[in-house]
Amino acid sequence: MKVRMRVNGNQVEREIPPDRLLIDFIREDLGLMGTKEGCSEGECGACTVLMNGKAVVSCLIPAFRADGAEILTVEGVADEAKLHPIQQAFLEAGAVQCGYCTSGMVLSAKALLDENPEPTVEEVKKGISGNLCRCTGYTKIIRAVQMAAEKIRKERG
Amino acid sequence: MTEPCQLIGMPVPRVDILNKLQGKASYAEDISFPGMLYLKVLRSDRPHARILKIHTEKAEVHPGVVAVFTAKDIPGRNRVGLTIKDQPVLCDDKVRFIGDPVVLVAAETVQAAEAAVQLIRIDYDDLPGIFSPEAALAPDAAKIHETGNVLVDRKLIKGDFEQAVEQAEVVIRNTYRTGTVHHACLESGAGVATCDGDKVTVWMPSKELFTDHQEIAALLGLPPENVRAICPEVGGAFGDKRGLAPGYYAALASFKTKRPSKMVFSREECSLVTVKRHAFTIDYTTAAKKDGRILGVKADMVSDGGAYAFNSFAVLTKAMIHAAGPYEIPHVFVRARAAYTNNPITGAMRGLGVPAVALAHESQMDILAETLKMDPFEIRLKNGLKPGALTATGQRLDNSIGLTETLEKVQGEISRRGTPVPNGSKRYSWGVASMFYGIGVPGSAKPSISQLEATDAGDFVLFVGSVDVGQGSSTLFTQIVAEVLRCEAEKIRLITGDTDRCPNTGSSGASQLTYVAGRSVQMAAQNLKTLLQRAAAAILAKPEEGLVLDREGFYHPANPGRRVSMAQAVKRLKEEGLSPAAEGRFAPEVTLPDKETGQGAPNGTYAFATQGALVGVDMDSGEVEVVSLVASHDVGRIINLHGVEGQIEGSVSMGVGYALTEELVIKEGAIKNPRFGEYFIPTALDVPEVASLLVEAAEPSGPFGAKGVGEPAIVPTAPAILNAIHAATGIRVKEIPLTSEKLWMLLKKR
Repeated sequence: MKVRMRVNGNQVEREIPPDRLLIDFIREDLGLMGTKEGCSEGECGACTVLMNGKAVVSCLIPAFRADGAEILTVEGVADEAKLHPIQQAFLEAGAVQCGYCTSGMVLSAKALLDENPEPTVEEVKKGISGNLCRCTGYTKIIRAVQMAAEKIRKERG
Repeated sequence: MTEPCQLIGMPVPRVDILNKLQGKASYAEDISFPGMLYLKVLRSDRPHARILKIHTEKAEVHPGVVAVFTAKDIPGRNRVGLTIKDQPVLCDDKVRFIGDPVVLVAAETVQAAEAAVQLIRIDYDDLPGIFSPEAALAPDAAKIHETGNVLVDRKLIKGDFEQAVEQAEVVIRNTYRTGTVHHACLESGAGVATCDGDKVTVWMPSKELFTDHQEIAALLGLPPENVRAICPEVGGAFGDKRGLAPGYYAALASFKTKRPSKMVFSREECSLVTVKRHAFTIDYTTAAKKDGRILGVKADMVSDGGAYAFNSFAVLTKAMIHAAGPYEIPHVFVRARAAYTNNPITGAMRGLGVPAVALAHESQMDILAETLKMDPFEIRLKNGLKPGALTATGQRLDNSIGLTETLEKVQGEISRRGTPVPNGSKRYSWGVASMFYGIGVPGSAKPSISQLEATDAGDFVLFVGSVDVGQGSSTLFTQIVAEVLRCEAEKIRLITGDTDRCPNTGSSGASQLTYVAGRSVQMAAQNLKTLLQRAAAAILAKPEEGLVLDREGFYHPANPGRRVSMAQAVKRLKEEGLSPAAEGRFAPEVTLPDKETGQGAPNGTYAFATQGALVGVDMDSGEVEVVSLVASHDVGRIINLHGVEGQIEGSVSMGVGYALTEELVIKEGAIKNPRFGEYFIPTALDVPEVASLLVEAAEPSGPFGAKGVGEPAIVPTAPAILNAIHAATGIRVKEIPLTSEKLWMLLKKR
């Protein structure tokens, strides 16, 4: 079957089998390897992408369900020239270790901040609670999301 | 002339952070080649059985299948292992745990490989399964290996414990138990290989690439130079990512088929077959005077070694060395045993056996303090290791002993913060625990080697075999070189994790990278600096001792206007026929623990720490909230602030899981909860606020005084939480994980 969607702003169209999962479509068909597979059953959040602005676990979604959708993966978060404020905040806070959860974390953080630009610590924790991280203990990630909220607010004046 | 540090101690961003933030970092699973085969392994569904016959005919003719391999197809040595080569890559005679590999299928697609595996049938003759170390050590137990079921049995004897009991006014004896725990790296593991003629290249995440490289060469029956192992980005290790892994099978399949191949662990497969943290039972006795002075401790521990030896020896040795805790105790007797069982394989996980013995010695300290009506800090300060003290192995400690300071910092912080008053059914309390931790592999005199070259442009290339598994070692090495050579970190290119290009700088384990590998990197940089300084002195016609180096190059203080750049110094060296390259080689001064008594100086330096945990216990539901964790760690010297804090925060999270939620439930050898939905690692909602209060008691033999923190930070967390729960509820629990269900039952019984 044929699917069409916008991925990171680019229109893509591919012929796929009906059981193709969105994660495999992104990684194998489009070659975007930044989206990671940690558990294949929606428990770890490493494969999180944004579908029409909402954070979803791409390992549980058939690719055809994304037909006509707007998909954002980690590769599309930054502008050409500079990091997104969330990425910049992760850098400054030291919120990355092994990096395997990072793509999903950044996208969950983006979904959260797009909806709630001034989250409390508890709201940040809740917003990323579907994304497991075994390295950082989340401390610096939580701080980074708050720093990012601040940066975005400043950018918007 | 010494100048103030520019980069040491700073929160320098990780060298890999831009790639990781933008999804450009490449892990083994991300690597592909045209014409690549996909691999699946058929694993034993029995805990212990003799293999009678393997029926692969149907699989061989399944569409898309290219090859089916069993033990008889292995060209080299079909046994791997760190201390004892007892683990088959593909089982030949027997299977010894549920998940033991038997058949390897290579196919054009993952789906074909998966389907073919389903078509294979194995005739087994079931053997009696042994599912606990106690059962394994029974005199009439069936033998899992020909050598018998005793895997490790060693003793530590200092003084005479019986004498301590005679002189003691208080004797406290308890039994402690810890569960089997999974590393649960977010990256489950993958391996990719190619074969060009008779040279095999394998990409695999590995914390000990050079060991895996040797094992793979032996497996293929090839000389080591015919195998190249490359480590891509690693998605977490914590002691895992070593030993029999997808890379081994990819290497085998590519060597046999001459095609590229790839194997990826599913989450479930990763849980079933990678090594686990040992479950321990520890019978612990403390003998003390009424004034709180501990005269003696005795610890008799038995642990589950699982089906194969792997590194049980190192885990039990570490547990033995640290069994008495960070205290000076005249009489110590420890027996540390591990037995083969038909349970999943156990091996190294962050802290090896030390988090288990810390639960015992730190619970005992609090029980002793309570018995003697002493303050938990006072009793620890009284017995704690101080300069000039002898450890349980008889090692005299003279330098870098920050225990007292860590206790004082946590004590001060707790009294400053205070304890929240009860809120509804919730009661709050602080608990404390301390630890010491020998940095490095006990008694290992294997040197860490690193190499550094200067380019014609005056930049540097550092060759380090040790792999950054996420903890940040690559950034730390870069900082050390930049500090010695007074340049920006951007001037240094790092070549790492490649057995063809790098020297063996040592395993990314035992918390040794900062102290041991970091020191070898510092020495390489110093040696290269000496060479370049000599060349600069020749150009300036000044004595080399008087020269100063800064970002613009070498100069003599008498004439700061005249500079020799790095590029000029390199040029001069080359004109003299010298290579602008240097090596660093470092092994700490250690001795192997004596075989009979465990006495010796097994580690070059020790880390010290104290953690205070504030818990809130819901007295109705048994639910425990770890509200805050105050972690004071003596790290010798901070190299990268974010790195140190990140290790502590990550360890605390893992320690919260170890204390409260994480346990692989194993029934008759089968793991009942292999998935993330059933095995609960902490989420952002489960972790406390962490305050790192760092102590820098410089270690003279470490780079800039640094020691290490990766493993030490998990050691005191669980006992601090259990001590806090006792303080809040009056219930003393000696077994972890203490789940809310277990605590609820105990609260109800009260």
